[in-house]
Amino acid sequence: MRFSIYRYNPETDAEPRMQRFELESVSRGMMLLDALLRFKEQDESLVFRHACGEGHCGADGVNVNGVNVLACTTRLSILREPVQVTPLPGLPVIRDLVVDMEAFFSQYRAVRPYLIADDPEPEVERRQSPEQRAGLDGSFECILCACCTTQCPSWQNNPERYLGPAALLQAWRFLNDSRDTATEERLNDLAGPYALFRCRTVMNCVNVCPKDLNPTEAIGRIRRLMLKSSL
Amino acid sequence: MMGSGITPWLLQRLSSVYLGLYGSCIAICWMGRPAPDHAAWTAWVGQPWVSLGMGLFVLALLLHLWVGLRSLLMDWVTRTAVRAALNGLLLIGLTGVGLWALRTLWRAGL
Ligand code: SF4
Repeated sequence: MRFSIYRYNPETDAEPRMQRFELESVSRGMMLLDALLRFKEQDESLVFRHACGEGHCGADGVNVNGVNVLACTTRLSILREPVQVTPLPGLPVIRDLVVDMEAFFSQYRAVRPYLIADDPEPEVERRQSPEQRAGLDGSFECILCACCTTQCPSWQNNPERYLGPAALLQAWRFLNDSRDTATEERLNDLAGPYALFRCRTVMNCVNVCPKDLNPTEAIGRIRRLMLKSSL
Repeated sequence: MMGSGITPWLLQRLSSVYLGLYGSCIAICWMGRPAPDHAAWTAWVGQPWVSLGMGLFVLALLLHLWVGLRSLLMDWVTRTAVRAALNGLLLIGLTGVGLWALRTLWRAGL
């Protein structure tokens, strides 16, 4: 199986290049991460992130033939040859397939992804009914892999001002939490034409999310909540 | 501040509902009838409800256009000064089209 992999070391290379690799035998169920690990045995200088290898940590997001995926959950058998592997688009490359995620995480931090509860602390814990808890399904499962945000054309056009699908999904996760009391401030943080309203429902985020989450729907819900609270 | 994001978004949705409804009404009204000549068209538009509806249609269309094109500029024009200039031109152009449509409707008896 033929691969073409992005190589770039900003400290020594004038320009990025694509390096060819070949995999002699592809066993059943083999994932892209397995292939990358083989290539690293062939060429130790190849750099990429990986950790859990099971789609839980979100460390090994890469772009394959134009589509963002997690290397560890992408079967080689579904890929078209030559398989082009490049870093997640729109983020500065540190080296080869490793990108600097700081911009992504600072947008995540901007939505204050933690519970804010001003009411007096209860004796035991802040309770939720099973229904209220169920309302958080589909948002808390995000593993912050950045596949969605970096595949979003609106984010690529305005990476500094549009928060992007991953951060907005987390904004909704806390806006929708029955225990959170900071709805007003959270909505104010998202006000204006850029932070939330650059989403044009392209839905690339939904297509690429390895956890099958739906940030577009969350963005729509935030807008409806904002409308309700501003009426 | 909240308004600068939510208001255009709401305007875009409301205007599209009106455009759809009024467009469908016009289509139903004229279905199966021959294309009108100028006199028949003027007489038809001269009816107060038709001209009022058409005036609102033009307004909704221009608002819808403004939100869509403003979004395009926000997406693709990164330089603030250039974007402001293009937004200004856009507003002037859309206002011109609106006034021209108003004049046409006025002449037809609004
Ligand atoms: S929403 Fe999905 S694609 Fe986006 S960061 Fe979370 S897990 Fe990754």
